[in-house]
Amino acid sequence: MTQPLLEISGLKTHFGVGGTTIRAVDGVDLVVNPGETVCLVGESGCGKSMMARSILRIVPPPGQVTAGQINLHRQSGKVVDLAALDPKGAEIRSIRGREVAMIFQEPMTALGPVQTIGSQITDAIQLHLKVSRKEARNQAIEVLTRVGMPRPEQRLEAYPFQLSGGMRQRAMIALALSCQPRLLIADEPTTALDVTTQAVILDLIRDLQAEMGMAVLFITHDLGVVAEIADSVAVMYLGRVVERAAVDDIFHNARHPYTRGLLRSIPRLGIRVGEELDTIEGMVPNPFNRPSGCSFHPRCVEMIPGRCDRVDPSRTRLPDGTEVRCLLHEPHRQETAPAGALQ
Amino acid sequence: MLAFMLRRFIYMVVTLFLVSILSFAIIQLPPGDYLSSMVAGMSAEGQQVDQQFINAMRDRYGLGDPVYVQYWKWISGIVLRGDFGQSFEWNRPVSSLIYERMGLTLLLSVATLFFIWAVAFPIGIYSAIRKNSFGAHLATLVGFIGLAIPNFLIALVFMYLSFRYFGQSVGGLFSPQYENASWSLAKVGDLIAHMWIPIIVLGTAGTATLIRIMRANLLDELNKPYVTTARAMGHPEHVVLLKYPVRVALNPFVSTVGWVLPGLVSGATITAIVLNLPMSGPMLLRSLLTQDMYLAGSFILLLSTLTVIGTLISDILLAWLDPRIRYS
Ligand SMILES: Nc1ncnc2c1ncn2[C@@H]1O[C@H](COP(=O)(O)OP(=O)(O)O)[C@@H](O)[C@H]1O
Ligand SMILES: [Mg+2]
Repeated sequence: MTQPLLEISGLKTHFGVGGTTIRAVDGVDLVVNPGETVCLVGESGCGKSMMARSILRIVPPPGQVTAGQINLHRQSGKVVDLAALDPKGAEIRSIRGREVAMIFQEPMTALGPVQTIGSQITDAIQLHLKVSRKEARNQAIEVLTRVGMPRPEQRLEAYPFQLSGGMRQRAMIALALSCQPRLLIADEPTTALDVTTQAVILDLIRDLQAEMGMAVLFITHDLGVVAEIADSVAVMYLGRVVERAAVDDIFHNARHPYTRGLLRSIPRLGIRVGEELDTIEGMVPNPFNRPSGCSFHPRCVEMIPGRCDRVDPSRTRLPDGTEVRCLLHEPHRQETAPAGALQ
Repeated sequence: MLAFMLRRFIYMVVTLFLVSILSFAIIQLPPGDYLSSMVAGMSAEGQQVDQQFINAMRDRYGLGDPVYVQYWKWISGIVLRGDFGQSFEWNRPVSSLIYERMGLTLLLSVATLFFIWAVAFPIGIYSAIRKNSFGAHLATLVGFIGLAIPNFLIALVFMYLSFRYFGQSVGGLFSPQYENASWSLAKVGDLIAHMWIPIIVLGTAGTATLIRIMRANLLDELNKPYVTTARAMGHPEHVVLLKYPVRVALNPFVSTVGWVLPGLVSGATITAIVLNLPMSGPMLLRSLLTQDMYLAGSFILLLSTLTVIGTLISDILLAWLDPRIRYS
């Protein structure tokens, strides 16, 4: 097996707000291999964005990475634990944008409003690649061409507000790819776009990935997107990864009741009018008072009374490689979870 | 950009035209015309009134002609010859009275504006970035005090301080020996030494307001996604702040040219009286009280013109700074 590019274990990102703690990310384990697309799925508010920001150490205050490791295998061969770095320090800054880049959900506001697209891209290139202004400009044109921006030379001089949503997201992708990162984190990059544009941007990311050989951590709550692009999938629930598997296993052999619930709630072709769509019962609990035992048990259709509400399931690795946190699967070969992941 | 500037310039000319009509209307407000008042005043003082002089004046201002002719004679005199008419209280041409005052007023206003910027910019940024620090709270407190205390009171305090501890003459913009001297390097130095009091007094409220605006704007901008993007691209923190959100939060700074200048030029009357500053405010007040209408009208016209020009400058600066304005 190749060396994983990114290995996250027991990652916790907490928001301390006036004495109470919101556990936005509460013990996430995740692996991203070079060149692979990992989809991170889960309902809104389950901590996907905070987990992604934790990797780059750009969690907004009062949020903080409080525990766990984020091991990145750097280009130089060195392994760094991003969770241990100073979020304002030089080392993490040399990684941001250069080795790990991120695309955000809001193409409308994610680019600086008063600088041209070109100046934002060339600034990034000059920051990381130490090239002349002219060379940076050429590279900016090249990357804009690569993301399919028509007339890239002119677009260099355009301001974000002069571009449509789809074009802005292309510009954002161009910015993220400008220094050829090895990992691209895309946080719901198509959610704010119309359906046609969504498909175009999705294809674009997939093509660019094949072309540049980078790994992608793609965050979405749309399982349709997952089916289209993922190699492997991590399902998050209340700040934890509850199931991690290859994409086919997720769709054909989902183990966690939450994953199965998500799959049942996808509208299918051929559903009859009036027939109800299955949904997962109940609401996502508030992240400050997470239920005892397995945090999914109040909504779980397969809940084992007396057990699921008391015992917090640990990470179980099944023979086919799927990892799941569910007591239904605990009797299988059990892997000891890293310290700190269990609480 | 050029089309934008041209459009703004045309707006300005139209506004100035309307302002001049308004000023003219104000001049016409008191019953009777200026000449009759003057003749009445002179006869009351027992002076002989020369009929030839009266006829010349009547012709000069078009008295007795239709209103639009009078307006034309008045405005063309100003625009073409710099002739603002006669101040009957001072019995001198208005232009000889106002130029120096307008000049000093403008100088003091511009200096105050730069003072406001220089103080408000760093403190505003600081109190947004470290919004819960002791320094930020202190700045807010001092700012509120500065806003709450009337300017004339601050002026009195500073006059006392400068007299007691610096041995400076109280009030005015010049020491007595330079008051009526002609301009020289020494006089300029004396002016600068006197200017700091009015600058601080006139600038306090504006500075406090601008700090609050800068802080609030920057706090808004700091949470915008593009700041996160800049940080996520690896830019160092000072670049993340200065290059992106501060650039955007700068807009209200530039807009201040539009509102601080006219505020200072016309609103500083009480301070100017207390500090005995040879500015335009006190003279405007006096001319209104004595119905010295050509003088009052000229002041109003000039002050409004300054306001309109200030707005034009700030609009152009804004457009230069913010492409979203330039292209809309
Ligand atoms: N600025 C913040 N202050 C406090 N809590 C926050 C903040 N941002 C996010 N959270 C908490 O983190 C949780 C996860 O948020 P997020 O990662 O944005 O979810 P999503 O999966 O929709 O991307 C939210 O439920 C929220 O309670
Ligand atoms: Mg999110």
